[in-house]
Amino acid sequence: MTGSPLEILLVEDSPEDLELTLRALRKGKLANRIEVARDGAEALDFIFCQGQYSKRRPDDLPRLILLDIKLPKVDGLEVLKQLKSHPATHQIPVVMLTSSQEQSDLVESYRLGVNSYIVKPVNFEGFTEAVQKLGFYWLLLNQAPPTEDVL
Amino acid sequence: MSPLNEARLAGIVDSAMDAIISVDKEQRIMLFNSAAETMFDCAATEVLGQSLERFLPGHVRTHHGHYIEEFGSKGVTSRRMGSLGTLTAVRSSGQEFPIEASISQAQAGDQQVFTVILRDISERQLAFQAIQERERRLESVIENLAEGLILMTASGETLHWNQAAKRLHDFTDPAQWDRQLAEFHTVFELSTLEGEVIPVEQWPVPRILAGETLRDWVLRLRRLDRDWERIFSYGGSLISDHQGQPVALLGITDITERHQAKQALQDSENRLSAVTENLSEGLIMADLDGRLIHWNKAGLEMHGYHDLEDGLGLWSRFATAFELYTLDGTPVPPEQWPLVRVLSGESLGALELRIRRPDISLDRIFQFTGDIIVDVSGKPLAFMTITDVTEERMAQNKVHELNAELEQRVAERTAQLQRVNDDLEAFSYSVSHDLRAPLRAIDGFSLGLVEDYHEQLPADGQRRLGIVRRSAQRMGKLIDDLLAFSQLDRASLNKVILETRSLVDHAVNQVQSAYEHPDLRLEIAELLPSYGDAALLRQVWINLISNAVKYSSQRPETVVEIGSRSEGTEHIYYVKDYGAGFEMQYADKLFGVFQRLHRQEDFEGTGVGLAIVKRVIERHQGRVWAEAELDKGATFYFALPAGVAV
Repeated sequence: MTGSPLEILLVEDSPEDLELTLRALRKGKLANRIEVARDGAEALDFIFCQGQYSKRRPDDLPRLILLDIKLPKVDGLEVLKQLKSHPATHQIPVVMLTSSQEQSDLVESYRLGVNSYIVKPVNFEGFTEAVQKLGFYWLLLNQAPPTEDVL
Repeated sequence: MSPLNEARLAGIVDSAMDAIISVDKEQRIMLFNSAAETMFDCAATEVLGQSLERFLPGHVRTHHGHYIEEFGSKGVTSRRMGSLGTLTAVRSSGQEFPIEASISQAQAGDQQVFTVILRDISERQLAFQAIQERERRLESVIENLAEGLILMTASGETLHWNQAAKRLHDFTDPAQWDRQLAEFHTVFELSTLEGEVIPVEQWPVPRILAGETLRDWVLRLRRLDRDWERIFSYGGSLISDHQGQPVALLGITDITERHQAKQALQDSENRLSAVTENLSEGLIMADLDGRLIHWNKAGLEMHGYHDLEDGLGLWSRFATAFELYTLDGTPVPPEQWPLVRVLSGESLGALELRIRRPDISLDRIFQFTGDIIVDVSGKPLAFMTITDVTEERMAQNKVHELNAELEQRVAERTAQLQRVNDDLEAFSYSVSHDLRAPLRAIDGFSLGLVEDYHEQLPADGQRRLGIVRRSAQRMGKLIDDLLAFSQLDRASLNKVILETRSLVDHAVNQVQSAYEHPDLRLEIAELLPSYGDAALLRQVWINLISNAVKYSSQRPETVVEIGSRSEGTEHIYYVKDYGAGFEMQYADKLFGVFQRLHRQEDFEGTGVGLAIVKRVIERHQGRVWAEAELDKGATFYFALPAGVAV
């Protein structure tokens, strides 16, 4: 998996949701290289190359981060906050992919600079469609800012 | 007449005090003595043989001779003249003067001689006039006296009533005077002010006649025959008349008005005294020397006294019995006590102090208000009112305590509610997050099963997996609706004036995209503006219109009518369909959460939509209701306060 550039970091604690999300991404042919973190702490370790990921290349950053809100250890909002406040990571598009319809979560996410907020539908067809659309948009359609080494 | 007799007679005549004039029948003067000379101021020699006429006043001259003639013819020897009036004579100077005269006649030979003896009564008359004048003045004084004056003899004969006496007794008719006097004792009644009737024999005049001297005897005089009464002060004593006979002199002063004024003053004082004595506030007056000159009853009682026996007149004695403290417990030294401060000129307003009297365990809170006032005689007095506010303060303290307790309880309850609320929020958060995840798994994995193991799965297995999926999806919908409903109360209302038509249009778009209903025919009348929260009202319209569409789904054509009207202070909006309708007996269940009137296989739904409508409208202080007939259709109404004028 290390050969190709990293496309997506999926942060999801529920194995069922993880499997369904991966299935949806696969169906949309968006599964070139996906890394998975199972809680917020792991996600941060991965991105900032610390803890078990201390040997990882710091410049191998995902092009898109799909982030659940309700996560063990460090919750999604905290992860989002750290990503968006760090110069190396604040440009990475972050999409909240969550079950929460709470207004407060929605408001807080946008306040912290989230790029999209998707409520996972119960209906799998709907879910698949949403995941495919967002992957298509952020990975293919959207023009990312130039990376620092290009500058 | 012998010469001796003649000489003697001449001597008498000449030395007589009265003027003696003799005339003959023709009134020629034959004798004119020296007294006559003096009286008429002319010598005898001048007048002897002359006519008497010159000494007569003009008006009698012509008749005088005739009178004498007549007298002479009567054969009477002497007569006092002037029976017809005052006689006058004329001096040689022409001055007329009053006289008294007597005439006598005598026959001297053939000659008839008339002798007149005259006395000049000028002085006597002057003296008499002076007396008369004095009497008139006296009478005038008496008659004009404001006091009544009555004179009565010992035998009860009325000698005099002055004008005032008559007026005071209301005797205004002089013609009736005798009658009034006669019935005096039967018409009037005298009594003391206390009401004790005085018997007639004890009336002022009988007492005076009995020798008493009366001074300022105040009695009430009342007429028995009509409504009339006065209050008189009687005074008098026995005097003697000019003949030494005893006469009762009674003076009467009408003091009715004075008495009434005094009475009124007394009444007013009594009332004031009654008021101050019955005040619940204590009243204390002290002079500037610190003498407590007045305590009212409440003032005494609130200090634990019953009367003034305890030497309370003296401030210094009072000061030793009591202790004063401020409300926070600081002792107040006697030189700072309220009365002392007032006496030193300070104006006290509602000063509250705690007062203790150790000997009787008195312990109260008093409110002192005081000032210097000036009494009628101009003497400055310290005037202080004292109110016992102990209960009030205690009640206030109690109220404060209760308030504090209440606040404490409210805080506790609020914290409790907050906890419950937090729990609820955590619950709904968890519902929205955690309950949906397994449903998603059920749905997703069922679908995966169908997709990945299509070959191995018989048709019935696929059908059943379809049921699993639909159930999961339905539960997801239930959860979504329930969460939306529970969030209604938490969302804040942002009320503005809204163009209702745009809310409706928005709702229609939503509904049409959801149902993809090609045959929807909308009849939208002109809509009154609404005052409310745009997002929430939009949801109301969505729910009502989607209901109308949903329950018309078994009709060949879907007709939905939307309109509004103004009624009183409300705007009423309605959504009418011609769908399945419902039986009105179940109308009360329409707006309850999860309450449904139709079977799931006929019309899908969670039973939350109308509950949301009701909750939103109620949050807008509005009303919601419905009218329907089974299989004919339903009309849903909601009324909103018209809000600010538009």
